[in-house]
Amino acid sequence: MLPGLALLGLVVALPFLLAVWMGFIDLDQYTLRDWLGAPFIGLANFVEALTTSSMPHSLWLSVSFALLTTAIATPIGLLAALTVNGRVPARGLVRSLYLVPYVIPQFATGSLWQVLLQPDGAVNKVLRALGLGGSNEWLIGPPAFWALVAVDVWASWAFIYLMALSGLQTISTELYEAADLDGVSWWQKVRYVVLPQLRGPLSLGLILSTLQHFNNFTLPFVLFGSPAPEAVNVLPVNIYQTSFQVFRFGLGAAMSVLALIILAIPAWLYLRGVRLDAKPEEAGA
Amino acid sequence: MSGRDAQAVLPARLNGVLIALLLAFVLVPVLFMVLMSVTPDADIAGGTLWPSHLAFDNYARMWDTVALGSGLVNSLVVALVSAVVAVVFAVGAAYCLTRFTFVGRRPYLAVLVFLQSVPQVLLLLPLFMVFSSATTYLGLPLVGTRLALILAYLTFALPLATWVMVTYFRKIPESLEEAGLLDGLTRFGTLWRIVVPLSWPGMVVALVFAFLVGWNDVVIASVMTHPDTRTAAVDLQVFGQSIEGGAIPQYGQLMGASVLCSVPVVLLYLLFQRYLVSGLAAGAEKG
Amino acid sequence: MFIGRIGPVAVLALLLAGVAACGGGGTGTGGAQLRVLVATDPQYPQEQRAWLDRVKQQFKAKTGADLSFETFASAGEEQTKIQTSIVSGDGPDVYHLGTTFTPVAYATKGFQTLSEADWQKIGGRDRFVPESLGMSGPDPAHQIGVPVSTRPYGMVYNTAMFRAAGIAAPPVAWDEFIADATRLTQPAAGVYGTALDYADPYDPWKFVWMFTLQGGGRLVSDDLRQARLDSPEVAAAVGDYFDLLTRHHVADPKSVGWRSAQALAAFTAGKAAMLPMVTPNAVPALEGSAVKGQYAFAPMPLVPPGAASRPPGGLAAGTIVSGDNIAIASYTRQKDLALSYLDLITSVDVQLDYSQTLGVLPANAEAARRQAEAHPQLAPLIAAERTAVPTTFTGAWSDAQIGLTNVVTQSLPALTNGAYDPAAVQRLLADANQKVQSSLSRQGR
Repeated sequence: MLPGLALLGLVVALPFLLAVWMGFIDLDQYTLRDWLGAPFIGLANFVEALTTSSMPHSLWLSVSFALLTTAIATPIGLLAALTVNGRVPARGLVRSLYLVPYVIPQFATGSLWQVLLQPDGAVNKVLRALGLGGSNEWLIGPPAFWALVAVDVWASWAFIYLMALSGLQTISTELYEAADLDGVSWWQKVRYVVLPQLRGPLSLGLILSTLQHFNNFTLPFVLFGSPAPEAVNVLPVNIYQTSFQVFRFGLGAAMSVLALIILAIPAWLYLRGVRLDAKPEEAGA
Repeated sequence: MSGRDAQAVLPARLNGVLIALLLAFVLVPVLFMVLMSVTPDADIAGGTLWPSHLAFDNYARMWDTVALGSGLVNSLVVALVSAVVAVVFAVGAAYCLTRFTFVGRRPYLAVLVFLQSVPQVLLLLPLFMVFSSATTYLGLPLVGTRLALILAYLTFALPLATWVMVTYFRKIPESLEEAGLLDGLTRFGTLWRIVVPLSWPGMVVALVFAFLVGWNDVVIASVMTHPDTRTAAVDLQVFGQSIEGGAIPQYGQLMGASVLCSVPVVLLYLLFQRYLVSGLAAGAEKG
Repeated sequence: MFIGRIGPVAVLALLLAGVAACGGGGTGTGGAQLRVLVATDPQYPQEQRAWLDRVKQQFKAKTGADLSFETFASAGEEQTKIQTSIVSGDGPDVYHLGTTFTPVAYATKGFQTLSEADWQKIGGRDRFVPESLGMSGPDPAHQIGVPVSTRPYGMVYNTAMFRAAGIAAPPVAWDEFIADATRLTQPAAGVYGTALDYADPYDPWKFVWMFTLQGGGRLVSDDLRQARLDSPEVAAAVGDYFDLLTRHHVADPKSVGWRSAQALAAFTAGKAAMLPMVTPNAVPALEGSAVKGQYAFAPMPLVPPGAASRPPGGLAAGTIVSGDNIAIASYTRQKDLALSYLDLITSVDVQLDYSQTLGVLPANAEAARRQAEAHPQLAPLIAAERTAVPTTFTGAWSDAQIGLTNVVTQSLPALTNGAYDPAAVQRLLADANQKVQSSLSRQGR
């Protein structure tokens, strides 16, 4: 097992160290070809990222976007898992259909919603039919943020659903039966049996889902393009534009590394807090 | 099999209503997608809801616009291999991480989460540098091969799968294994005979997540592939391309191809979801 | 139960066996092989493949070597592919590059500068439409790009609507454009004089560029040292572009959220009488629509809004020098083979075949002349190429293009409300200017 892990460490570690190194050199269209000779400029990229660039705004957007989408997707995913845990008709089919938005390639999801949300698109038409306005510009200005949240929740709530569904399989039937004998309501069963037993998978789901939403590049990029409206200029799109569209690879790498540090510390504290990294007996699971 | 289904937590009526609501939430946009796949492109751009005529030929033309068939095969192979390898490694790694205490255990777990926070966009250029120097210095042609993609996806899929398995294994009581050890099974024997059979639900979920890493990727595949190793997700972009200077994207073909691309995954899941029942839930092992 | 569990495992095993069987998909080569990166054409996929096969055969007959075409789907993918190849010195030998990307490609020094002898090997510069060489390099001694196609921008107008409104000819000045558009606008019927695409990622900066140059301004000083995006001419140009909607009301208010596909759809549905910023790429959509037989192309108006003639320093800039160049990677070991490819693909017959098959316009002068004769409908666009002005040849060009697009993107919410704040536009321009200046300074370093 160890040699395998070491090899993977190399495949991951080497590119990662290169990426960090890029943050300290002035790598752009003029130095790209001879990148080993690109001038070392110390912390200049990091200073620029934090002061004059649009990174702080993007970071704030991405953090709120990631937390918000996770907060909305979690109850949906949990409820969905509960609906197909028991015996229901065509359970396998329903379980699989829930997965459809999650497995449609994100590029296609983005294109689909771009069409549905266009000025004359289906969303506005439906709103108009319901008498709820219907001349909204969903893809420009501040509403774009909410459009992105809605589409992202639609596309990826199944992540929490899958985590919860597998977690539900570890709850012994005896626990439910004991609760039934006590004559508790379904809500009490969720509150006192299901949620405590799902603590592990759900805590993990929350952190992974937050990180994945944070790093989602494809969906905002396809929906809004680049340069993106300010309301949806999330960090991955900003980094892509900085690195690949205007060739500031050094600055882009510095932005990524800063984001990584800012993400990793809360993530680590969270892991310690929910004791996910403890051994079973220490956690008392 | 008693009349009362203990695993059904929600009251039957509420359960039914919720399923209906969730299916509507999921399927209404998907039905739009299916409808769009037979709508002429100009209608879609103009915001027409109901097509002026049904353009079923989109489903025929999409195979010509891009090499969709070979793209699907490439996607399936690359995503499946990386997912299976990731899950096999993850089961081993997660078992060590949950059953033994060793120096560096916690940092290792922390690094795995750290890796989940790395933006793919950051790694793209360096990953390409490393892979292409493997060709230059080691004579190992990586760029353009399926192996390169599989390795790249493993870097993202393996940490994900490992964490899923760690969380799952923590719920399996060690007392079950102790019995096995007393009966003379090796550690590997207990893992294979006792832990794995109880862990199918966790493994299925880890497999799905790891699979989707490769299935959905566009960023890495677009630079790491040659025409004959292109994946379907990259091919899809050809339909959506809006050409400068006025041309309508091939919306219909894009939606048709996307519907088609999600079918194999849903089918695979339909096939595997029966494993989402663990012996743990039945409580049978206790006796 | 047993069968049920075995099924999926068998499926997996089969798939895994499949991997082993088809291996890596490597690129085993016997003789000489030239790798060429080319854009996919989603409008004519089969025709393109057939054309590429013909080129392969002709190349084999001419040189005995094989051609291997690699494709990219989007401008973003092309750019990433070039970046990764330059940084690793590994990739295709020959690249088809968009003209606006050529200056940045030049700045990377990743492509070979063509000597006089090289030009002679591909038939000399006289072979090409003169304007098409505008984006080959900063000056004739430092050219990296050989034009393979031109894609001039012009406008398309609805001939039936023009006739009904008694307008005899397409406008040649922007004030005339606005007057015609005003006459053709009937908001009650949902019909507008023009369709615009303010939310498009590609078109808006071209309008700002065009109005700036026609009005005598520049985006970058002629010595390539100073960014001028904060100059009054550029601010006025942005204003002219927005005024079409907010002051003259000649476009559907929904244009604010439109991309080029929606604007084109409005034109093909007869909801707009004129559509500026189109190229021959629009032909398939036009031919398959209700306006078939009722449309004609024309060059863009050349006199800026609010003026009777161009002010001093104003250029007759109707279109950017647009199309594709071919450049040879600096790391290639097959330069002679690459030059043979360039010679073949820019020759009259191949250019005619290319143009007829894929609907692009030739860069070869003789082929362009013959195409204009054979297709009177495209002649106005071929003529528009004579009003082509190159975009600034600097490595900072991406910053300028992205910067201008960003100015428009961030102004869209204001446009939705029917007005814009010139001070806010000025601030956005100043911000973009600073980025372009920073890139120009890094280049001079």
